[in-house]
Amino acid sequence: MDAMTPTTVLTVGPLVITDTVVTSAALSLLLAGGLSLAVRMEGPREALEVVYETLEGTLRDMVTVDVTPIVPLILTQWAFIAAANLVGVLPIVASPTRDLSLTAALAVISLGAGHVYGFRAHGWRYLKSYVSPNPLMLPFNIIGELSRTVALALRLFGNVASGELIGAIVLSLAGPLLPVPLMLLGLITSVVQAYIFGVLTLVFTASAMQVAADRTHPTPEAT
Amino acid sequence: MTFDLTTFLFELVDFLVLVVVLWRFVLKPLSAGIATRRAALRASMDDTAARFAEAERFKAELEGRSKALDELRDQIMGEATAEAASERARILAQAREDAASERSRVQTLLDAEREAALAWVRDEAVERGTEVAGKLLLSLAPAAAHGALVDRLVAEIHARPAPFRGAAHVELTLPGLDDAGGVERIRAALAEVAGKPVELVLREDRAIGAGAVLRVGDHRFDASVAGQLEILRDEARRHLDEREA
Repeated sequence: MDAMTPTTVLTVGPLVITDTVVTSAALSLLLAGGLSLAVRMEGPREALEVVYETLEGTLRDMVTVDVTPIVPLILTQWAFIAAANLVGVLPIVASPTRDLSLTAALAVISLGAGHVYGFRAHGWRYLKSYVSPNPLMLPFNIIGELSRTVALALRLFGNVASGELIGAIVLSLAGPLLPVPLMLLGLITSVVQAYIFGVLTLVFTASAMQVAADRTHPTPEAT
Repeated sequence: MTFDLTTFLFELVDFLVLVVVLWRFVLKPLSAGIATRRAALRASMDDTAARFAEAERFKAELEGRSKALDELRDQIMGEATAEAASERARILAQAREDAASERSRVQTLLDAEREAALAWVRDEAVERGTEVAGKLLLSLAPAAAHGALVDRLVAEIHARPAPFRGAAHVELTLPGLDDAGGVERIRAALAEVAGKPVELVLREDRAIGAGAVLRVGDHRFDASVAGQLEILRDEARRHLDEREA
């Protein structure tokens, strides 16, 4: 059960470095280094281009707005979260996404992305979406944004942490071989959770851009 | 379930840095590569479209040429057909003309051959008829015929006496030398018209059949069956010629 909570690796003054930080930093370095290296090799680069084109096409098909500026964020989320979820399969490494601090950071980035791209697309008029359809809805809109962000963080954290917890319980009760099917199921769950997180980020961001767009350029049906 | 602010902030920074790094060193090159490839593909498609348009234009040109060639072929075929029809008509006319000419020539030949055949048949008929008539005459009444012919010769001497006047001798041809009576009658008739006895040179020629032939100088008096048959033959021929005409 100790593996379920982040363990402190290093303490520098008031800063406490946990295994989550170490693992996520290592994953970031591996992803950045590995993919940068792969891009410079002809064969892997062609494979990456096919993957990139496919995923980008998938993102474009999901929403009606231009997703070009969001693509790097969503693809990075998919890659990072999938890697972070899958790394928990290794015996001595715990999945960093079992740490609410990390999932919260990802959710905040998702929240911030919607606002950033909303502002980039429509400027300050984007803020009018908070007082839509009337100023009385301002608190509810704020609560909605926050709850959506919290749900995003908790969904990922809950799925990964529960999977690790169930694996640990089965391992402690039945021995080392029995958790294998659960781990195989966990592989699928890891990828699916990464996909869901990225898609939700995409939908929230695109929704923010679309709301602003609708308000800026009302459609005939809206008028 | 714990929340650590340090971890939160580090992860915030870590992820944003990762986004920037991946965008700068991975996604941007990939995107650029894809854009380059799409541009090359688009250029290739444009080139293909241009080539296709060129091919379409060339196809249209070839179709135009083909149409022109078809028209030329039809024109040549029409001219050749008309020329062939004209040549056929000319050859047919020539053939008809040649056939008519040949038919006329053959007809002329046939007419000539028919005429020749008819003439031959006529001559043969006259020849055989007179021959049969002579044989009949000589077989049925040779003596009577001979006497009658000698009488005709005597009458002829009296009718045309001029050649015998002053003649020293006369040649007398008989079918046999046994008719002394007939010779004497002729001799007497000659002496009478000449005013003096005339020497008779007798000759025997069985071919004359019956009767006698006198020759004095260039004059010939024929009162023989052969001579009469010859006259009959000439008469018959003349008569047939007149009928044919």
